[in-house]
Amino acid sequence: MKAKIIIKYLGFVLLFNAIFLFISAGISLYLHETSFVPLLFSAFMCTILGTLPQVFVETPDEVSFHEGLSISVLGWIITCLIGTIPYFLWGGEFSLANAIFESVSGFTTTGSTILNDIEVLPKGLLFWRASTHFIGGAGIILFVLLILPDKRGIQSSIYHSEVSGLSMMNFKTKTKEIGNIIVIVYCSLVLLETVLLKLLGMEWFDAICHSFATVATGGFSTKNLSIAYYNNIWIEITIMFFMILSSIHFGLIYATILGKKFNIFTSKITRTYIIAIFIGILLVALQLTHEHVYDFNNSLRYASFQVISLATTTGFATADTPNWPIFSILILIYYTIQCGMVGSTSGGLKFDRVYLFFQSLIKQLKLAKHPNGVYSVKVDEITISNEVELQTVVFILLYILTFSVVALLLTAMNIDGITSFSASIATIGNVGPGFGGVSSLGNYAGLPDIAKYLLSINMLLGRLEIVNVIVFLTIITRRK
Amino acid sequence: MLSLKTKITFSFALLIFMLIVAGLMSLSEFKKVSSSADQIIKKQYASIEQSKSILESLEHENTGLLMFLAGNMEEGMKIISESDSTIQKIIAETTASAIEKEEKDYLLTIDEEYQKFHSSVLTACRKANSIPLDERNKLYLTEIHPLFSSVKSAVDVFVKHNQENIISQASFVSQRSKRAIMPALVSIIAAILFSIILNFFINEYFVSPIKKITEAVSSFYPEQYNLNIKINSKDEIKELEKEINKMILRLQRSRSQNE
Repeated sequence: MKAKIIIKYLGFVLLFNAIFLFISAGISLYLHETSFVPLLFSAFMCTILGTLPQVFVETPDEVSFHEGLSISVLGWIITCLIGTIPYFLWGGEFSLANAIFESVSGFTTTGSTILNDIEVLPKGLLFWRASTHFIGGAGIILFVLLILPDKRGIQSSIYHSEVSGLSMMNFKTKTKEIGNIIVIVYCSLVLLETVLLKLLGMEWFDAICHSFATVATGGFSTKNLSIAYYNNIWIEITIMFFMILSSIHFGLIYATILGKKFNIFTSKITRTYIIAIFIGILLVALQLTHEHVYDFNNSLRYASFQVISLATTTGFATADTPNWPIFSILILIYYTIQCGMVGSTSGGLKFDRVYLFFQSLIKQLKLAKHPNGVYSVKVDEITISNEVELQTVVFILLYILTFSVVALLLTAMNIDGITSFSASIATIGNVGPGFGGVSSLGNYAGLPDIAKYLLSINMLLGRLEIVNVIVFLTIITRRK
Repeated sequence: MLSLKTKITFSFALLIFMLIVAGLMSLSEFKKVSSSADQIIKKQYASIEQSKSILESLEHENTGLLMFLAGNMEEGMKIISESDSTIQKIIAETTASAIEKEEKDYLLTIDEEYQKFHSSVLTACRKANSIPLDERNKLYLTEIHPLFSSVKSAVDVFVKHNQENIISQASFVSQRSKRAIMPALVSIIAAILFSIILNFFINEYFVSPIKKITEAVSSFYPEQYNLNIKINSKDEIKELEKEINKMILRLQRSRSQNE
């Protein structure tokens, strides 16, 4: 494993961040805001530190798997740390713990915030906050790969460390093509949503920031009341539509647009995913109506938005869900665990793994009944190997273990049970809002600093899919 | 590929640029802190002085009225009108320089309370000629003194607000001065990081290849046709390796010709 290669690619990561920091500083300069100097300073730091490796290290002919994995894990960590600087230098509510939490939450597209008053933030800083979603949504490493020459062995090594292996399952295309497809679909969705939100009455600035947050399935809003601020059913419907699209495999969206045979409508797993969301909406809406929380129309409106927001790991809000009946809350918690699909911008466990797990469970039950039978698990007509099945089960177990340990540690800090449990699930799943003290219209400001650091690690673990971090740690400890 | 000289020059230029940016930002932050501290001190001092002047003039006006009621009418009226014009002037000046809405509200209350007091003073002066001395005392104690106390209370509230403002502004300045250290702190961390990476590259691209060449030269034996080392860079060190290998070849050729 060559350190200089890793440093070179980390330099690219810093330079990519610098582009958005310069844009944010430009906005601040234009509006004569107090965030200009912190943003410009951070942009210069990123540029200087990112340029140094480019001066010395020539582009390698190939990158090994271990190097690729290290670039991916360290790239995320460095990006999150760099993202902290403008917040920390600007001040206000941003202490060190708060700045780190907000930065990690942005890049991992979690969307949890520590801000009590978002609207006092200068627009330059708000744009940087939204940019962290945009950069983190498609994955910074993916952006970096696209601007690099397509050398043999480089793209695939890094790409496989960055994107879930499951996302490659149905597509017999080259790594570069998959990367291109993800970025093309990603940018097109952002562009389309921005224009639609503007037409529906949002300011350009808010439309751009909300599009970044929707398509990245992040959830940072420029308003204290999130989407509830607009109280506009058409804005809600538009955002719901884009939240669902952004949580589906981008390759499938691309295939659907090109009119290919295998598309969103023919993919069984995608149909199941969308049906699962609709069942959730119906159950919550019926209970809200039955318990007289709202009339049926409003129940359907709020239930649709909240279920879609949490199921796609976005985290926008139009209602304060902790006041809802416990059955509805439990359904929402289930969707917080389930998350979106692989190949999308959503983080966490991913629906595909839940689907595979249940398919595998059915297979095991059949085998218990007919031990000599031959059964296989299929996803969209593709037979899943026993190895992938085992990896999925191991991942789910690791996921449950991680969020349970984090929830336990939070309770040890005298945080109540529901807040600890939901904060842990919401952060590892990169969802954002939880319940109790960290509800949909609330924030994470009240938690102790140590809890914010712990939840920041939890968000990164969720985004990097735990196993990658464990493998990375074993690589660096073995080297020592 | 860049030459070694360019790489080193460029690296140090980057480091210098980073230090200049950090220095400029720290300076600008400290300048902002010192200027805001200066402004706050001046503004609060002026505000307290103005409140003090209002109270003094108010006491004067009250004294003027008492003199008037006691029979020294000419002197009393002179003091009353002088004090009134001073108070009106101070209130107008303070209101004009006030920035906060809260401050303006307090001054408006003072003005309203004072207008009530002043009009009651003028009414008492008009009535004074037609009522006996003991009645005048009663008039002062029952009608004017409570209004005088109200104006004093309103000024006291304003003074208290200014004092609280000083405390909160002082803590803001102290917080801001702590923040002003942050760019320097971030720069120090970035400079350390930069130095570590630069040190790593110098070792990787300068020290290590030179060591390789030195070891290869020291363990060189006459039958060899080249140094048998691999230099991956495309800079002066690679050139050095090539030139040594060429020299070895020339030496071998001349030796074989001599033999």
